[in-house]
Amino acid sequence: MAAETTAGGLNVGQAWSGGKSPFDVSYGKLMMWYFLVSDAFTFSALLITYGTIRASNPTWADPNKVFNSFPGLEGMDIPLGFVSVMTFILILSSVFIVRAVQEGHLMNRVGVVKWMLLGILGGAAFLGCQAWEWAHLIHQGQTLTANPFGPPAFGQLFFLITGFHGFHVFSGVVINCIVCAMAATGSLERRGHYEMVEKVGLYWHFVDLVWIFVFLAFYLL
Amino acid sequence: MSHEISIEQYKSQVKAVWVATAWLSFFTIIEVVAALLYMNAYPNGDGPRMLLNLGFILFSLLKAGFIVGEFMHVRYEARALALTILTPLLFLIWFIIAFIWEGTEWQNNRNTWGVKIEDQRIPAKGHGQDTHDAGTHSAEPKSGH
Repeated sequence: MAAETTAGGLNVGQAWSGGKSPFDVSYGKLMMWYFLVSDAFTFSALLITYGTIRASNPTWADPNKVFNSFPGLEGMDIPLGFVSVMTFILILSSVFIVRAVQEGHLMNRVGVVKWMLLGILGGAAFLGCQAWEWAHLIHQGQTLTANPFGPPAFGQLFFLITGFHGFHVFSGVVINCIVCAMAATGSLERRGHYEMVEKVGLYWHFVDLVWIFVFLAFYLL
Repeated sequence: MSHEISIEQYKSQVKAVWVATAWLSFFTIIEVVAALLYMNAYPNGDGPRMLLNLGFILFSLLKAGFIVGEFMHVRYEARALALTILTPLLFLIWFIIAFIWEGTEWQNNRNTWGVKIEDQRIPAKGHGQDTHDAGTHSAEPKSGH
């Protein structure tokens, strides 16, 4: 990824001569980044486990046959329809949080709160969709021990990985709510910056990023 | 860190984010349409998948690039920060190759030593039976059916 020269720190001698962060970033944001790197390895390990177990099985579930239901349209065959909606919801929610970060740079309290509320709404909607999808699959007989679509390992990995991702979404919604409340009460304004929104935003985009690869592994490949 | 930014900068940043959103949506639509076209062409899912899968992976990596670069702002950070975040991920390359390799070999063992596919589909009866996986069988070829 090409770094922009405007960010500074490209001149190695100056950036590392002390007196300021060579990364040109605050301690909190840097630590959030390192947490996300470690979390990325956790999710990678889970998804690679999925790939390994799938490669070790002679048969596997066909995603187009497993994920073909849509709420309110029972009995119709709509492959990948509902999960596409879920993907768009999560992407849009991520965009809303970027907008909140940008309003924070302008110190616009109302803007931050408005966009964060929209982002929280998107996260909650995603969780609702996932709850429906899980309930539907369990109703169809996909549990941790049995699976009508293929090897039970498919269902086990599906519930493990989407569950772990869903838990991240849930924690993200909770933390977003807390930071949104801090913004609304003016506590961030008194600090003189909205960096908390940037930090929770990084986490929230990471959740979106992981979903791209969960979507790839379970629904596309 | 509060960076004082001008209104022009703000406007161009907002525009960049919506452009990235459009690209993300575009790539997702392409992926879903490709999956549906493939399904129409091969209703039993038995067609060649190599090109399709490569396309899925490529588009997903592009989407990841937009999210990390634009939404997570890495494009605009100091080069040292971008490197400290991104270079550890290079380990994943061997991680993926090694484990998919291992999984394929595992299936070869199953096929060679005759562990039946149907065994997989029966809900677990007890723990004793479950632990007899390919590893046990390959060490003891006589137990093959």
